[in-house]
Amino acid sequence: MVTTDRDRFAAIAGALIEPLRRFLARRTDPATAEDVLSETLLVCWRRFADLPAEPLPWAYGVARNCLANAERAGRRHRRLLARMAALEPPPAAIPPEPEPDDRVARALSALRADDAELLRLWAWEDLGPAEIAVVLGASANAVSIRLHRARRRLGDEVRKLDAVAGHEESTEEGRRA
Amino acid sequence: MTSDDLGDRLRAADPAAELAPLGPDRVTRLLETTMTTTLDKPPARPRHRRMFAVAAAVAAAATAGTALAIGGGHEPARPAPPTVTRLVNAGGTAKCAAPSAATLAGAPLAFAGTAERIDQGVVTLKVTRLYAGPASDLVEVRQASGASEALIGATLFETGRGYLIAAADGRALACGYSGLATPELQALYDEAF
Repeated sequence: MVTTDRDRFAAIAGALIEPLRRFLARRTDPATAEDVLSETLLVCWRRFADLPAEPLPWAYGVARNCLANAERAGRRHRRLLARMAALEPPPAAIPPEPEPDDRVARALSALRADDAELLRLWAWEDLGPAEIAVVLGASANAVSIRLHRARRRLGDEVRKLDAVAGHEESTEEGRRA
Repeated sequence: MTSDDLGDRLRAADPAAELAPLGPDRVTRLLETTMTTTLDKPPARPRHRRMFAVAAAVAAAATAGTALAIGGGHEPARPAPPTVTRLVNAGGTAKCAAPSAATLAGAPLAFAGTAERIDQGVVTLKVTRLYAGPASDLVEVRQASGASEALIGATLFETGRGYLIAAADGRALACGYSGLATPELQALYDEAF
C-alpha cells in the first residue's frame, strides 16, 4: 500500500482543522470562519510541498492572511451598505458577548491590535515566541520583547478595570507603567 | 499580577473554549473538497463537490472520425470535425470513498488530456492518452444548467494544464478519480491501466 500525497495531506490537515477552527472562531464570525478555513486548507494543499515539519504555526499564518483578505472585502461591503442606507453599525460597535472574565476581554480590546494579537497567540493558541514568529513572519527575538511589553500593558489595563470594579487585587508583582 | 495569573485569566476568556469539534463526516468532506479543488485563486465558498455526469452512451464504441455527442443539446460551431466527446458537469453532491485502482480500471472511459480552452463554461481538452473507452481527439466538458459557470471554468480547469479524467457508470466523480494530473493521480492511473 503506497502512501500517497493525498493520504499524507489528509493526516496532516486533519490535525490542523480543529486548531484552525478555534483560531478563526476567536477572531471572526462563524460564516467568515467557515469560508476562511476552506481557503486556508486550499492554500495548505496547494503548497503541500512547502509545509514545514511543524505545520500549525505556518497554517495559522496562512489563516491570518486569508482572514485579513476576507475582512478587507467585508469592510468594502459594509462601507457600501453604509453609503446606501446607513443600515447597520460596523461589527466593532457591537458589544462583545458576555464572557467568564469580561474585564480581561475588555482589557484585551483596549490594547493596540498587534499587542492584542500577540497575546491571543500566546494565551489562546498556546504558542511560544518562536512559533508566534512563524505566524507573524517576524523574528523570535522581536516577538519575545514585544510579547513581554504586551503582557505588561494588558496587566495594566486589567488592573485598571479591576480597580474600577472594586476588585482591586494588585500584588507585589504588579507594576504600574 | 504575575504573568501566569494574567495568562490564566486570558485563557479563561477564550471565546473558542466551548467550540464543538466538527464531526468526522464533515472533516472528511472538507478534506475531500480541498483536495479536489485545483485552482490558483480559492473560491469564496468552495462548499459544493463537483461531479461530472457523463450521459448514457459513453460505452457506445466510436471509431476515429465519429463525434460522440454526449449530454446533448450543444453542438459546437466548429467546421472540421476532430472527434469530440462531450461530458456534462451536472453539479450535485456526493460522498466518495478513497479512490482505488481497481475501481478506476473498471471505468468505461478514462483519458489524459490538456485543457486547451475554456469558453462560456465549456472546457475543451485535447486527449493526450486514452486509457479506456472510445477514441476521441477532444473532450468537451460543460456544466449542466444550474451548475455555476465559474465552478467549471475557473475552479476545475485552467488552460494549458494536464488532467486525468475517468467516467464510470455514466458519471465521473471529480473527487479522487478525475482532476489535475498530479503525480498521485497519475500513479493511480498507471496502477489501474
